[in-house]
Amino acid sequence: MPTARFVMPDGTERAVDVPDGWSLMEGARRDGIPGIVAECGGGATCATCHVIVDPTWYEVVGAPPDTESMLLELASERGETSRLSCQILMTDALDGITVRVPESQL
Amino acid sequence: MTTKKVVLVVGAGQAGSEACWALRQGGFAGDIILVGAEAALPYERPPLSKKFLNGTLDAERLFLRGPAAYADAGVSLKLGRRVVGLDPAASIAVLDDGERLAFDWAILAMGSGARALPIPGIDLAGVHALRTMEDAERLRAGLLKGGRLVVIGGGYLGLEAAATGRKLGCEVTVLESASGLLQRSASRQTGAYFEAKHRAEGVDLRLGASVARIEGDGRAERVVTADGTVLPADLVLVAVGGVPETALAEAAGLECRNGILVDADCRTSVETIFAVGDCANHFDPALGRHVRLEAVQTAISQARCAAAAILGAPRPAPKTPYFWSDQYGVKLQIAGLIDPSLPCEDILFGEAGVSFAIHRIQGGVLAAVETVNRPVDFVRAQKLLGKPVDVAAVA
Repeated sequence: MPTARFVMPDGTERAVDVPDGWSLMEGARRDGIPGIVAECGGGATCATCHVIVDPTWYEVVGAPPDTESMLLELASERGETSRLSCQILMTDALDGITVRVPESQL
Repeated sequence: MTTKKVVLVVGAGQAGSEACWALRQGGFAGDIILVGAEAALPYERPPLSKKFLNGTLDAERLFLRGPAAYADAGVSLKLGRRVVGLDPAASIAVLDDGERLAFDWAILAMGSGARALPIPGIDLAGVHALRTMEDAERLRAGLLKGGRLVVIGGGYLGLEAAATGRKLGCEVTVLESASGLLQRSASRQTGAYFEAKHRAEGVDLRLGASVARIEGDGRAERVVTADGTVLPADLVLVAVGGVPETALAEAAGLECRNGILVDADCRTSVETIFAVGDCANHFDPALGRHVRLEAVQTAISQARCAAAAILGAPRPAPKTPYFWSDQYGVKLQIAGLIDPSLPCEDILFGEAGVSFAIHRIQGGVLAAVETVNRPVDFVRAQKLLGKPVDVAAVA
């Protein structure tokens, strides 16, 4: 099962095992990662599962499509590598992906 | 000597669950006890009429948190249990098995139940409600056999279930007593769009139809309307709205009116007791009136308000309520609220039958936005909510 690393605003890191085919958000939510709220349940309607992807991994997951990009504008602390974690589906290719949880989401 | 403070959360849906996390994230160091009537861990309800009902989303993916997360956060779960009595003066709750729990604060998050339809035949086998995971599993088992589904009630829940029924190959009839769909919750154009969409997808949609009775020999076999029309049915879904669960609060003497009355902090008429989510009729300071909503985002933000009040933290900034519905892959998104007692002007952008946005204007400001298959416009318009609109300039 691929693992994702969530870096919290205080610098601590949490490893989350995410079943293949689940979104990064679903894995984070199951493990109770603070700040990943996902009000809309993964429908790309809110922006409460925003993460900032490590630049190396951003090249793998790619840039967000239009709707997601618009939603990210509603999120605070949008960075150059921001994504909605509900839109990143985990596969073995993403094993080890590292993302940061924005402080304002806590 | 100081003893640990206790927060008792009654009701383990989205609101009750969020209250626990908000308390812990806000630094609450005392005990948190979460009591839920269902045996399952807290889960998401919106998919119950959509992806969970059609079988494309496993139960495991409905749960809001895994069991380990509750243990890690020190939240004591009492699932499959009900609070049957609440003594505000003594700060004691009594559970269905007689256990007594003392609390410093209580957060009531009992949600809403299906509105009853007092007609003959309502208790026949094959007549379903859709509020819980178990309800959805039972209904899905029926839908997978094929056959004829009659949905009583053309609100979001009924329409989503109708769409799922069609997807699973059932013949579907929807009975709605009003003359159009979604009249209380959406614009005329959006209601008309979904009316046409359901008909195009093969639903026998009957407007202005009220139900007289359900008939059958031990099982529902047909639904009879007030004008005598007989509709054969293998399954009946009753989806005529939700009623707030207030019995416990009323018996405890808390003030209730269309839900448990709470102030801006979600505090009830008793200082140490809060109510959040579907069961709460919340004073919205931005609107200046009480509003009771059955929506995930409302549940979450109210849970955080109550947690902040208990922690003595500032009240979180209000967020505009939003809602969504998925039917046949069509995405409806609504943000903001209309005051039904005031006139409303609707402006359409886009193509009425295909993909469009409706800006709903009250008192010269953009009060709500509805979009059908226009997610980008939905996000864009949210930034304009509450701002003045020059109707003459855009119309």
